[in-house]
This record gives sequence, C-alpha cells and structure tokens, in this order.
Amino acid sequence: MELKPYEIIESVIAGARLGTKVLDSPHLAWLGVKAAAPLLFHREHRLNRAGRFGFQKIGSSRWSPGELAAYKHDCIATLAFFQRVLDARDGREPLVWLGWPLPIEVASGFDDVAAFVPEAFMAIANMVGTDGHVACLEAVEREGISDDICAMDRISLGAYLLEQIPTPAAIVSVAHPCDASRTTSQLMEYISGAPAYTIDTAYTKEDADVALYSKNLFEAIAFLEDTLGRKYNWDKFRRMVAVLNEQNRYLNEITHMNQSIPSAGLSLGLQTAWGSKITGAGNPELVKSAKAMYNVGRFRLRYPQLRRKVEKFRIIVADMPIVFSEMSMWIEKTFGGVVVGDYIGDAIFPEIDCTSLETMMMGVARDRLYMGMVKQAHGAARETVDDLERQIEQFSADCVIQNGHQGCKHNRALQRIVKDVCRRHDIPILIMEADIFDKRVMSEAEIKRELTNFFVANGFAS
Amino acid sequence: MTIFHEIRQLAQSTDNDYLTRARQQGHPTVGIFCSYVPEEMIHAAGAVPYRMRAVASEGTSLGDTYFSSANCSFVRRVLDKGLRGDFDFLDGIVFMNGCDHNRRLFDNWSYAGPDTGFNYMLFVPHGRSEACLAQYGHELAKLGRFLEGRFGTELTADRLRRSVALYNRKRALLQEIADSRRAAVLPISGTEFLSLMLAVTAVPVEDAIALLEQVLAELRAGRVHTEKAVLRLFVTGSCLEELSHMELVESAGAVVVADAICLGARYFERPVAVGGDPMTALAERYLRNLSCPRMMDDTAGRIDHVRERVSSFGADAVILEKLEFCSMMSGESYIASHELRKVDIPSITLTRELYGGGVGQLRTRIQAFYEKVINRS
Ligand code: SF4
Ligand code: SF4
Repeated sequence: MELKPYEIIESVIAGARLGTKVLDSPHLAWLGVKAAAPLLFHREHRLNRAGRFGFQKIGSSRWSPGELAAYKHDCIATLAFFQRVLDARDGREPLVWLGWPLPIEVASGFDDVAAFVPEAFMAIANMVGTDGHVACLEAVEREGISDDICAMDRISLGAYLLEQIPTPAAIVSVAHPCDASRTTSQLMEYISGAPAYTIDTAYTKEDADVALYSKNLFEAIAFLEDTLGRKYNWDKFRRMVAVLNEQNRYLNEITHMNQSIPSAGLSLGLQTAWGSKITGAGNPELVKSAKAMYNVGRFRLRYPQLRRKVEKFRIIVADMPIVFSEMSMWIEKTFGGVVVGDYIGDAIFPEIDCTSLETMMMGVARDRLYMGMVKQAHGAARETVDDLERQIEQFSADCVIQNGHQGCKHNRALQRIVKDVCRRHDIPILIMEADIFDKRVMSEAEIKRELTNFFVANGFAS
Repeated sequence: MTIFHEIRQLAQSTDNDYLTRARQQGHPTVGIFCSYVPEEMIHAAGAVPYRMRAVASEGTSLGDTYFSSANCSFVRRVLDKGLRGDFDFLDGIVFMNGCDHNRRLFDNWSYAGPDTGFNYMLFVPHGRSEACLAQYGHELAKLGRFLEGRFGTELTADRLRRSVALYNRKRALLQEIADSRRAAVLPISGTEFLSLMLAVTAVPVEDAIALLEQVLAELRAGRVHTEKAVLRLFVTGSCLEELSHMELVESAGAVVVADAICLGARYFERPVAVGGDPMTALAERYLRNLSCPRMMDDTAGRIDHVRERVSSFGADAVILEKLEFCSMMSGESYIASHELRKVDIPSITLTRELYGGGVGQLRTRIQAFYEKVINRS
C-alpha cells in the first residue's frame, strides 16, 4: 500500500469530523450502524476495507445509542489532537513528541505547543484500511530495523519514515517500562535528530520511586521551556489535573460496574478511554465521554435481565487486546462470552491530591503507573501477577486469554506464572502466539479459529 | 598445566576450586548479572561476587517451561542451568534490570526457586544524568543495607576502600593485558581474552589478581599468538560468552583486538576514584563507566568510543553482536552501523542464539564480510 504524506492523519481527521456530526444524533447513527452491519461485520473485503476498522472500534453494531453518544466526545478530542499536529506541520506551532507511557500534560500544558504521541499510530494507521499498519511496518523492515522490537513502536517509526508525522522540535522519551519503548525512543531520537530528554518511569509504585519520576517530569517541563523558548502554563496544568480527577472517578465506577454479574459490558469503551487518555488527558471532552458511558452502565445494572441474555461466560484478557481487529464484540455476538477485563480495560486510578503543584505532579505520575500496559510492564512481575489474580477474583472470570503479544517480552516471560495462577483458580487459559498490532503474525481468521477451538474444548460453546 | 590451560578450564566450568576454597574459609558466593552491580560491595560484605553465565549449558528445555520462545536464549539457558542445580553452590544472586528478559529472570528465578539462596533485584536507571545518579545511589544504599543484614557485617568506608583497591588492581591488570593488543604482533587472541574474562569473574578477586599477574608475566616474556593478523576486529554488543562463537569470529586469520562488551572492556575500564566517600565513588564509576546499549543518553558516546578504539587499536572492521530478541541491541546496531558507515568503518551485525545452531550460515556471512573488507583495502 502506498501512502501519501500525512494520509493517515488526514483520514483520522475526516473520520473524526464525520463521527462528530453523525453522532450528534446517536439514535439515528445507531440505526445506520445496525443497517450497515451485514456489510461491515463479518469479514474484511475490498469494499469495506477502509471502513471496517472504524466500525469495529465503535462496537461492531453492538454498541447502544448511549455508547455511541459517549464516543462522540472521544471523536472531538481526537479531532483536536490531530488537527494540532497538522497545524504544527504547517509551522503554526512547535511539535513535541512524548513517549506513550508519559503524561501528555507535560507538553499539553504549554498554550502554544502541539503535543503528540507517535505510538498513537498503532491505533490510527488502519483508518486507511488494515494494510495501513503493514505499510508502516514494511517501511521499518526496508530500513533494516529488526522485527524483534514491539510492532506498536515499529508502526510509529514507520509512520515517521513514511512522512505521516512531522519532525518534532523536541522529544520527551522513556527508558522504561519496556525495552521496546526504550529502543524506539533511542531510534526516534536518532532518526529525527531532535533534542531529547529521557525519563525512566518508576520501577515500583513506592513513594520514593514515584517522587523521583515526578521530579523528572518537572525537569522535562524545564527542558521543554529551554528548548522551545516558551513558558509552561501552570494554571492550565491545574485545570487539566482537575479534569483528570473527574474523568478517573467515572472510569473507576465503570470498572466496578464491569465487575458486577452480569457485567455492564463496557470494556471496549474503557479501551477507547485508555487511548483517549494517552493522547488527551485533561481534555474536558473525556469527562463527558466517561460520564455518558457511566450512565449506560447504570442503566444496564438497573435492568440486569437485559445483560443476562448476552452474558453466558466471562473472560479476562491477560494482555493488551488485539488492535488490528476487534475480538471482544465478535466473541460476545458469536459465543455469548463477555470480556469483563483486560490490561487496559481495568481502569482503577487513585485520586490526585490537588494541594500543591508537587502533589499534583506526584499524582499525575502515579496515575500513569496505573494505566494499562504501564501497570503490567513496569518493575517486577508481581505488578502483573497480583493484578491478574485480583482481576480473576473481582471480575469472577470463567477463563483467561493471553494473546501472546510478540512485542511484550516481559509478558511473554511470565507465561508459566500466569498459567499457574489460572490453575490455582481452576479456570482454563488460552495462550496464543499473536501479535496484537501486526496481522501478518496471526491473521484475524486464525485468531478466531483458535478462540473457537478453545471455547468448544472447554465447554463454553458447542 | 600452563596458565592459559588453567584459564580455559576455569572459563568452561560453572563452579571451581577457588570458589570451593573461599566457601570453606567462610566466604559465600553471590551471583551477579551485570556490570552495573558493584562487586566491591559484595566483597566488602565478606562474599565473593560471581558473574552468572551459561557455560556448560545443556539446553533450554527446563528454562522454556517458564520463558517463551520470544525470550532471549541467555536467560533461558541460565534459568535452565539453575533448575538443573548447576548453581546450587551460590548463596544468593543480585539480579539487575538490564533488559526485560533479565528483569523477568529475577521473577522466574524467585518463582521457580532453584536452591541458590537469596534473590535481590537491583534497579539501575537507564541514564547517566544527575537525577539518575541520585537514584542509582539510592538503590545502592538499599543494596548495601540488604547485604549488611544478610551477611551480618557492616559496609564501613574502610572495608569498601580495601575492596575498591583490590578491584582497581584487577582492573589495571586487565587493562594492561587488553592494551597489549594494540601491537601489530598479537600476544593473545580475542578467544583467549574472553576466556580470561570468564575465568577472573568466577574466582575471588585475590585469586584473579594472581592469575592475571601470571598471564601478564607470560606476555611480558614475549608470548606471540599471531604474528600478523589478516584482519583486526573490534567487537561490541550484548551478552557474549561463547568461546566457540569467538573462535568462529576469529576464523580465517582474523583476530579480535579490542571490544566493548560486558565480559570485556565494560568490565575493567576506568578505576573507581579513591580518596572520597567510597559509595559515591562506586555509584559514579559504575553508572558512568563505558556504557552498555541499555543506557539511553550515551548512544553517541558509545559510538565515539568505538571509533576511537578502532583507530587506536588499528582495527579494520567492527562486529556488532546481538542475541535473537535483544531489542536493546536492535536499536544500537542500526544506529552504530549507520554512524560507522559515515566514517568508512565496515561493520556487520551478527544475530545468533546463545550456544545455538546456524553456525554454517554464520560462517558464510562472516567469511563473505571478511572478503569484502580485505578486498576494499
Ligand atoms: S505492547 Fe508491550 S512491548 Fe509494546 S510498547 Fe506496550 S508494553 Fe511495551
Ligand atoms: S542479550 Fe540482550 S536480551 Fe539477552 S539478556 Fe543480554 S541484554 Fe537482555
């Protein structure tokens, strides 16, 4: 697939614009999505290639009008985020890249700086069709960069090589929580030639470690002030933290709602919230989205009989979800299995203490340590294993699926421990060998086949 | 038995008589995984630091029940050895977050529970800035308290200073041997030097010094290994300990004259400063020594170092060594090969499994590369 410069971002902006308009009338949109489902749902083909990915990400026709209404706010936030990248390309303001595990507030607290997270490309590259991410990966392969680096990171590198991202004025990069992020930061710095400040996210959630991480975030802001010759707006930072607290309160509630039996079935919405938080934390639209989702959950818990019809068994995905396609809605529709939690759809965040700038920065640092993917990747295994153990109990899981994402070497190294956790809880586990970002490793059809065999073999389906 | 035979034997075995003797004298053995773990602290606590290795490994079948096929063969082999009881002579291990695989080695080791005493995880930051140095100092202080509690000793400044003096002596001897390879007539091969490194990181420092003095005496007496190397090579990369691989690299008349690997220059370059607070000096030296590819803010420094050594050791080409799935080295080798090309230094990245197969293919690649380098001059 040949990509024109900035084609991916332009498609996302067009999609988000359309979404914002269409979702003004969520009930009408819901009818439209239902009508389009037969064409878009089953499998990808030439005619639906470009639209199917976006369709899957809005629930593959299983979302209610309430969920679609919530999504509208994510579209508005997405639009704002990517529009500023194009503004930066056109020279209206400098662009700062941030590694995905870092609080975007470090850059978005400047009034006149566009903050960008290159890893967002793993989620948006397919807006031009599911060969979009393959085009980015192939660009990296042509460059001779080894494919043992996580595909998420290689997609962002490829996007840069294919002129889908403007060159940054500065980079704030990460050396932890995983080797992939570290190496990609190193490569991004080298290839772009931009000045960089590197941060190790904390190794533990202990106060001393978080304090150091928070100190590094202050230093990163000072580095950006120096490099860009602009002043950070601390009032804006305060406002963003207040917004974050409000958003988190709803996300925490939604996570608890997913734990009830039957669950509120909102894990796909939480995945969206995870992505939106990485790129837009502090944006008031995200509070509106979370609140609308929360209302959907309340309704569902008030009428559990409606959910009981859908929910035959409960699944924990002990991994990141498959990104290049959408499996949870397919599982729900085909087998009545509900993904009640996964690595990113378990959004429990501590309240941020807003007493001072220091406590706020500590809170923001801690917040991102609780964010999916950072939470499981950083530090020692107990961060992941204790969490899985808790998830299995709190979400009353009947089985566990691990996609076996090829990039997460730290997660792949825990397969025995994770198997033993499931054995102790007497529930079956499926460990696949998929790459959640790269459909060439295991295709959608192959993944569906493995899942089907697993559900049949364990009596969840016949 | 000549000193070089003894060295080779030590390099190829997991445990040895020197360690047994030390244990009999009340000095426990503590495994360490990386050049960022200050050996002086373990020595000052009365124990013998021992560099973990996969030599004499029988495979990965036991290690593979914990790790996946997407994990590095070094950790799979070391865990496998641990589960077979090869390291039962250890009284504890200080692990380090060198990479994701190594970090999870600590987790799997603690979980699988080979009988090797305590498991301690030292978190080392990925940079050399003041903030990183402060964090590393804080981590070393924690390690110090742990060792004191474990061995019932106090890591006093005097004890640490005595250990620093011994390790500085060991470093100086290694440096002198390494520097002898600057000459046109090479007294020692890269394979022999790697054996020496494996040997002296597996015995008490006092014995290591004695062994190194014997080696140096032989070199001073005019030992000749290669009159004139067909090719002089510089080697850098991640974990490399296989003598068989080094022999393959040194085939067809090529000789490794210098390196920047952890069982090489990264271990012995730069002494620890004496005179001030020993803990501060240790933190400074270990964090800011010749860096490993895991360190984020020194990529340019590492490449400058390669360029400088290639020139001062008269190397003709650079070998970038990488184990399969080592993302750390994936980034480093891409950048290094680009930068070296700019200054007309030929390089090749060799990707392998530790003690793995594919030797035929590697040999073909190596020979084709050597021919290319020879023909250009
Ligand atoms: S998917 Fe895993 S390896 Fe990739 S960036 Fe996330 S944590 Fe790192
Ligand atoms: S070779 Fe690379 S991946 Fe393997 S243990 Fe060493 S640093 Fe880690």
